[in-house]
Amino acid sequence: MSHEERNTVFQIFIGLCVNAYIIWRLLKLAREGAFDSPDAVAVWAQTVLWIIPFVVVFGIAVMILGNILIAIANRDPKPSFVVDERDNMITSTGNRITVACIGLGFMGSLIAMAFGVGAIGGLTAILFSFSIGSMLGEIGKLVRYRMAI
Amino acid sequence: MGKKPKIANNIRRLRFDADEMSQKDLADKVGVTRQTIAAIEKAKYSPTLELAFLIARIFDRQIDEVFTIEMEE
Repeated sequence: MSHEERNTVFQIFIGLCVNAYIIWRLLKLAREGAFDSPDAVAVWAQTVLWIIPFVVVFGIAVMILGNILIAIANRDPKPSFVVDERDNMITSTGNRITVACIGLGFMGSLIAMAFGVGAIGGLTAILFSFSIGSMLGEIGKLVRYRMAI
Repeated sequence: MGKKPKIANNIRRLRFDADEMSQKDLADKVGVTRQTIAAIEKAKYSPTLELAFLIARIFDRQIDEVFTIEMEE
């Protein structure tokens, strides 16, 4: 497994954790009635603003720890970090999937809001189109890597 | 529908002839991953022209001695 393919697996794991965390966090706020108050959008925005740095730090930590653990498990003191043209081609496939999901999510949320869904629902749909779209892009990359075997 | 071109190659035989050069050695020489060389050998990935020339140069061959194009349905 190449460095980029391994990172793709880590990204899928990160995506699963992040999506689970976002669902748990937003459901918790909804149960507490935070989204029923007049400043619901502000509460939602503050929550998401706190989630973003958490996601970035968590992602970096998983990538670093994962690569260290793999290097130890393989007993490879000089692991290869080569990223080549095939990796770039596969990455562009993943990016296309992600962008398509974001576009669909954005359109879906607009349509939903046009038919009466509230701002929180629309914003949450856009948020998930980013987080799930990113994860689906990574899954698409892994499928393309595996197809060459 | 037209025929789909497929890039075939004889890198495996050339590696064997070159003192049984490993995929990893060839990958290191041309600056790609071993997995990319494996994918090219199995015709699962068509390299860029630049990489194709680099691989041909490693074996001291012309590019058409390493890669051939086949038309398949």
